[in-house]
Amino acid sequence: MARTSSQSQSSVGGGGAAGSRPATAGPRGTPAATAGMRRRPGRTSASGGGSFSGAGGNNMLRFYTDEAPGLRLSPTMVLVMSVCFIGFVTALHVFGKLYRSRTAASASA
Amino acid sequence: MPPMRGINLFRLRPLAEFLPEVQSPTEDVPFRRKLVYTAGSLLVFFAGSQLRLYGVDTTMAADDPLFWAHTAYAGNFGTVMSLGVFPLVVLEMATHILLGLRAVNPAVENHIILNGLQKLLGVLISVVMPLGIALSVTHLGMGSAILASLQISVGSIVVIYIDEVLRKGYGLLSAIPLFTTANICATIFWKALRAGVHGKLAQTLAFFLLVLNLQGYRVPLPVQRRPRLPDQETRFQTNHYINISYLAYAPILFQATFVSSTYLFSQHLYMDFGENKLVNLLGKWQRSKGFGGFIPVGGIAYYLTTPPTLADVARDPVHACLYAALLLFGCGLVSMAWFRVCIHSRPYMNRLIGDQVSVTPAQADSIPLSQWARCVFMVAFAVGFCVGVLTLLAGFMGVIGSGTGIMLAVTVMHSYFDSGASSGIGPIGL
Repeated sequence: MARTSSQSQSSVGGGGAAGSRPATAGPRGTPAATAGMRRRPGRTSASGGGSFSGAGGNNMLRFYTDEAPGLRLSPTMVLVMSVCFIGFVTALHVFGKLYRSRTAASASA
Repeated sequence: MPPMRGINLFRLRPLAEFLPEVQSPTEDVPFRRKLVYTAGSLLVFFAGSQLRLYGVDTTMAADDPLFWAHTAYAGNFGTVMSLGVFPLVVLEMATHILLGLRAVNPAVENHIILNGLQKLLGVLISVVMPLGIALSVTHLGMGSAILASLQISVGSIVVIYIDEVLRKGYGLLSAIPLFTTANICATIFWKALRAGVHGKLAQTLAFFLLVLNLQGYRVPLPVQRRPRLPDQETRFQTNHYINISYLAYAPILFQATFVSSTYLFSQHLYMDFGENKLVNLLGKWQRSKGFGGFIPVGGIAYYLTTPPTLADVARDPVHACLYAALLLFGCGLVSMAWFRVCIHSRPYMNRLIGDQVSVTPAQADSIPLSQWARCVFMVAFAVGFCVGVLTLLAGFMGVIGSGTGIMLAVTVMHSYFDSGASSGIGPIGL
């Protein structure tokens, strides 16, 4: 597989040396993605399973995880938000009962 | 087998990163913090399961689409967490099936994108499903239906994010086994306290002990290694052990899913097109006096129901035999299919078979390298069969909290105490 990776080094941007992998047409726009596709045969199946930060393909994975533009939450924030939601629905119940009893009291009095 | 080139999901990457994501821990989370996070999530889930929806009079609502699946999904109808962990389970199954059948190229990038997509689809499901439920419960007005579905949606999104937190390494267990087991234990606890039927309690305990006893089995699987040198005299074998309880989790869960979705499908068809012959073949439904819901009294759905008592078995032996046969073979097949799908996933295989195993010189009964998958298939079928037998037994004994529930709870707890404390969280969270 050393020959394949040296081929990929020389033609990263063009995506033209995908002769060894004709079926993976993939989006050619991402040079990192095509480099990753060609680097894949060199990786053992162990890192293909569950480890997201495998030894091979480090640069590409960093491209995916660290530059992710989405908002990042901390776990404490998630728990706090869920407790707030439960408190909110409880407050709705409480205020609904209060409001109903108050209107009933003012209607009868 | 030659690797089939599946679809690559690169184009969907911006979609997968759309939602905010919980950050991964930068270092190893200490055990006490994990305990706190897990306990906190449990508290939130229990509070949500008891919290009635605001603005909806839920005392009248008896038609619940997910009634039969309560055990499997830890949902409590009419509360904020009506869906339970249903979106999570559905998406896990879908992901594994896609990856296992190589419809999606099994590469690491695709894994990450699929996880992001899972969350997006989960949020979509938790928004769409409550709308469907609220619209089908016919006595609600438009305003309260929208309010109710909004609450259920937010509750379900909260469950999805809590699952994310637990999965990223902050929790001891993932959400699916955690909430399901906790819900089952709580149900058993409350029912045992309330009804006070000592006979049933004793039967439940007996069943529980039986299932616990069967958990510890490991089937030895010696696999021959390929000889390093062509003329090597002694062959070696790696002594793998198949972890039975890990294998059993899937058929238990999916049998409940399959039966309940058949019920759902057939029930709605019957209520809409009651007189059609084909629909009647699938299932005829009648309102039962027991709990106000619907019970199938004819058709295929009838043959999928547990006969309530032994007297009913004597009255309609065809039903009992057909039910038994369907259950047993169904469980076996589901188990085999799930193994076939999960074979791609290395964490699953490590948990199932064992990663660091001893290597000894080959004995007489070692299995050639090409045959090991077939052996595990057969074991999977046998395990599914046993799961079916246990479910039958539980149905006849009238166990509190349903046999499926107890089996799930025992499997999860046993798996956790056996190996989960050290090796983290795998697929379906086990």
